[in-house]
Amino acid sequence: MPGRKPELRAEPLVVRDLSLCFTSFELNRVSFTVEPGEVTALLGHNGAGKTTTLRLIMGMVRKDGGSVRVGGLDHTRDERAFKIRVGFVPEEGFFYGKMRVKELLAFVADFYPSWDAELCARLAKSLNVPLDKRLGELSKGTRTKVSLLAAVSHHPDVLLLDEPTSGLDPRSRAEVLRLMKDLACAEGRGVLFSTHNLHEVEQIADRVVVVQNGSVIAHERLQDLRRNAGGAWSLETFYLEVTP
Amino acid sequence: MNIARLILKDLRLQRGFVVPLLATEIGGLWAFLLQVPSAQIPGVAFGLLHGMMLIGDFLICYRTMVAEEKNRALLLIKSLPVSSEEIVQAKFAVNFLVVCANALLLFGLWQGTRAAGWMEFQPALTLPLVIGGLTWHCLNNAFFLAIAWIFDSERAVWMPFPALFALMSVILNFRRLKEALGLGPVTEFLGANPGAVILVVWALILGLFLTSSWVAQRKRVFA
Repeated sequence: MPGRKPELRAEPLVVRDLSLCFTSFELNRVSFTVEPGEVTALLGHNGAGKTTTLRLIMGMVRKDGGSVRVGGLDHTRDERAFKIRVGFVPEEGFFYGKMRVKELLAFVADFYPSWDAELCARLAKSLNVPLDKRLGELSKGTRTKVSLLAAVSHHPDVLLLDEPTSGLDPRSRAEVLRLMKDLACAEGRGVLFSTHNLHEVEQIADRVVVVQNGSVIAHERLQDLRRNAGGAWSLETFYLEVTP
Repeated sequence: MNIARLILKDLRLQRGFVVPLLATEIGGLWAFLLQVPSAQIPGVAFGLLHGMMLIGDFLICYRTMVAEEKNRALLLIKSLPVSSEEIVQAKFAVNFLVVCANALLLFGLWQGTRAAGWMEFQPALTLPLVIGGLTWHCLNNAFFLAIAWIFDSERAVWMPFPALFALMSVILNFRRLKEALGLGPVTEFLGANPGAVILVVWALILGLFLTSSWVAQRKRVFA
């Protein structure tokens, strides 16, 4: 089936006042925008609310308030249409160990009218993903690459990644980061990834959203921060200042 | 179409489970029958067969639902353009398909064994007995599934045991309960109309399905 060609300009992901109240954790009116053509980093300590925010966006956790939209599509009201426009890469590979990679990709492909089999095959080759192997036989890095293939081959407007480089070897980490940057720069997609690795943020991010104790405490363009601070600016200093 | 895709995925994943499942049930039945005096075998075998199939109903739910929740594959499904309602519908459908296939295979073996004269199993299967058996095992499986949806996988493992004790107590005290609650006319009606019993059981199954679907759409944390 021929896939939907990448549009010149994808739609932004707009998160407004996203709230959640568990007995042990609270997400407090989280707001930010993931612009097309940009990589946005969701930065914070362990337990700050990064994974919860991503899962709320994907409807895996039910929100108490707020809205999430891509191009006018609400993530709960227009659940199916919304998810066709968004790709998600989880932190853990939550896969079927006995399924072969090509079987999983064929299963996922059936759900997307915009699935691009050619793109998927090209990415699998460039990322060295063994399509005939069973998922249970793969390393964590290769499983992350499989997740990436499944998440980007339908040309999503926005790609969400939950700590995509956690536990990866340096080569796999570089490949994944390069792919994320390419998706934003070359294809004009919006990319949002959670991390606590400042070096990665400096390497590929255009914007940074800092989360602490379930609240957004900073939402800035890295270029603006650098320009305003002059030559001596570092992300580490900024991060330590805003997260006391 | 989404439901069909999810069902096909589960059927593909479970195809290797059919032989171990049948082996467990037949092996279990055989192990029990070896301990029963041969004169009593025809009388107890049918009950024991249903007992082993009851374990099978649980294993089918465990393989298709609980294991998928534990290895977080349900989250993969949830990230696809599929609604929670469709996920629940597909799970119930695939479970009933496997439960019915399992029951029909065992009923076929039962009849085959009788026809070959290997065992004097009683009773001979009739259409009402087969329909009743399938209905009972779909209810049993739907109960396990509903527990897994309403609570979580760990509770799906443990919840049935208290329920089983409660059910056994009801059966043991049925006569007293019937008198105390004035259920005589109802039981007489159901005894004379087995079709009505089947309808009541399917109404219960529908209730379990609708409750699961309702809960899945409102769960704080999906899977």
